[in-house]
Amino acid sequence: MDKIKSDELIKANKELAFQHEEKEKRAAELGIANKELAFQNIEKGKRAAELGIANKELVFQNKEKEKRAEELGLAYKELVFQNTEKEKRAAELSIANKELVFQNEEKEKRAAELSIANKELVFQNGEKEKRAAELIIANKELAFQNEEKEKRAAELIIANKELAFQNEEKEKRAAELIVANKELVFQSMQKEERAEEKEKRAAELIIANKELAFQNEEKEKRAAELIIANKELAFQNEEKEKRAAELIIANKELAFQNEEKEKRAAELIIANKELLAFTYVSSHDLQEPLRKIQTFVSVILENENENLSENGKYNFQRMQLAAGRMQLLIEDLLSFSRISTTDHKFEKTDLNIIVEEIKADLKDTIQGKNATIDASDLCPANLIPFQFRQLMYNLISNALKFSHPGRPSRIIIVSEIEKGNKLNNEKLSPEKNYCHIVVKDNGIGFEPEFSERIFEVFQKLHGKEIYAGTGIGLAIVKKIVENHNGTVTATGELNKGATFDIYLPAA
Amino acid sequence: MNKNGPILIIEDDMDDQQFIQSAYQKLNYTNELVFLDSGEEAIQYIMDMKKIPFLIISDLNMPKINGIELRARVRENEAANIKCVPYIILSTTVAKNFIDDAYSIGIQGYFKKPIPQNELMAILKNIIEYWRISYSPGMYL
Repeated sequence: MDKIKSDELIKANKELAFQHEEKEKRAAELGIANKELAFQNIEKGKRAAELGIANKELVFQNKEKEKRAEELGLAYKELVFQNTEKEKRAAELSIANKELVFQNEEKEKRAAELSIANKELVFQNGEKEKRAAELIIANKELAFQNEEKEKRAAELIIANKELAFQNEEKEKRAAELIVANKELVFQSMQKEERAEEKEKRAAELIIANKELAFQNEEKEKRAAELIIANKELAFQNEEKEKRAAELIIANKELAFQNEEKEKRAAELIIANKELLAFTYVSSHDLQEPLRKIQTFVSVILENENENLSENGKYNFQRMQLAAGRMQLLIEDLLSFSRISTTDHKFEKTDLNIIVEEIKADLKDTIQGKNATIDASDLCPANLIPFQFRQLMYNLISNALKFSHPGRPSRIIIVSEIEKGNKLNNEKLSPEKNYCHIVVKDNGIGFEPEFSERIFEVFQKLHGKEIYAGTGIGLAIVKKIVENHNGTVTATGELNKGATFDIYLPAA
Repeated sequence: MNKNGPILIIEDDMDDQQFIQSAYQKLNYTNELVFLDSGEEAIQYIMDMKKIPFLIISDLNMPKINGIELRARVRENEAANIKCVPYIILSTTVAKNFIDDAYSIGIQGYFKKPIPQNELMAILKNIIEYWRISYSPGMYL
């Protein structure tokens, strides 16, 4: 029993001694390992310090990049602002151009009106007339505006060059930024390697670096966006330069056309002065001797009646008739020229009253011709009352004069306000309202081919022996309608009647 | 106006003077008819005149001083102007601008020179009869 116990004890002791040896070995190994750890810790401390420095450097570089990005942002805003300014100027230029084109069209219209008016007044003087003074003033205005626009276009070109230069500068800076970024990325990679050595701080640094890299990418993206925006801007600038150049050419063309118009306007002024002189001569110097011839003839016929042979009396009567006709011609010519020289004052006018007054004036003729005039519920219209009264008088007295001998004369006058597209006349604007006045008779009418010619001065379809008149009445009608910015047409059928359609712009 | 005073005819045309004279004679009025041949002569006469006239009938279209200028000058002189009512225009022209100008400087009528003598007589008679029953500032001088 004891032997067994002592054997067990010896075994246990040997075991213990072995375990002790093992522990000492492990303790020695631990001592070595500890020394090594201490050494490694020192190394890590050194590398962490290096990383800290590198990080500070990165932060500094990042700040630098932010500054540059800010500068780029400011430059971009500046560019956008300049672009907006240029767009405004371009818009102003195109508006001014449209204005110019519109004024030009207006002037062309006026010139056309002038031509028509003059053609009528002095038959051979085809293409001249109207308010030449207005044209000259308007032309000077135009020339002034053209100069202004040329100045602006020149300014635009300078501003564009400036912009292009700034764009180049920005591209350079963007390129610098890209290089800096690549460098950053490279440094970041190096630092990541080192960071493996100390996990916690290295991980922080990695996160910080990723953040930085992300910020760099963002900045690169923004730089790239800025570069694209700059290119876009440069392209837009080129486009604007092209348009400015086109505008300059268009302006020169306009200026040339204006000069041409000024020349023609000057010619028209001279022609107008001549016409005014003619009007004065016919108003006084022609009328005075004519009146005296007429008075002397009437005195001779009255006082020397018994001393004259029958043939002498007859010849004096013929002289009286011819002088009377000349008087009528002068008076009609005068009223024709007066229509274009007197004031054009528009008033809201009741057409019914005008027709009633004319009916009263022509009472004897109406009774003599057994005529009826149907005019009721005529709409009020904005017109030059004095002129329109003459117009209606001319139309109604014409209808009475050219009544059919075989039937009682009947004149129908109606009026309505209608939109242009509902009226059968291509000269009217479809969306505008018109006061449409119709004067229709059942008289001798005329062949349809004369529907234009009857409005020309001195155009008569009948010999003066059959129908007295000077051929100015309808020319006056047309002129008055034109003074109202309206249109008049005549339709006729031989031996059936004539219809006059007047279209006046209504409010 | 003085109903027994002379009638002044301002007329540069001798033929027209003759027409007026013969028409007036046939009317048998007793007022003296005084012809003034030009604007200058008329202005001289009006500024110097002692007698207040009954009527002044003036042409418009005259050389140097025309009817409008003459009327305007008379109007500037208050003493002469008060004697010159009625002042009537008798002209070949009835153009609107002449009529506007004439009435703007104070006239009492504007008539067109007619062709037949009997019409001229009718115009003169109407003017004279109308003013015979009218009152005017010159009557209180």
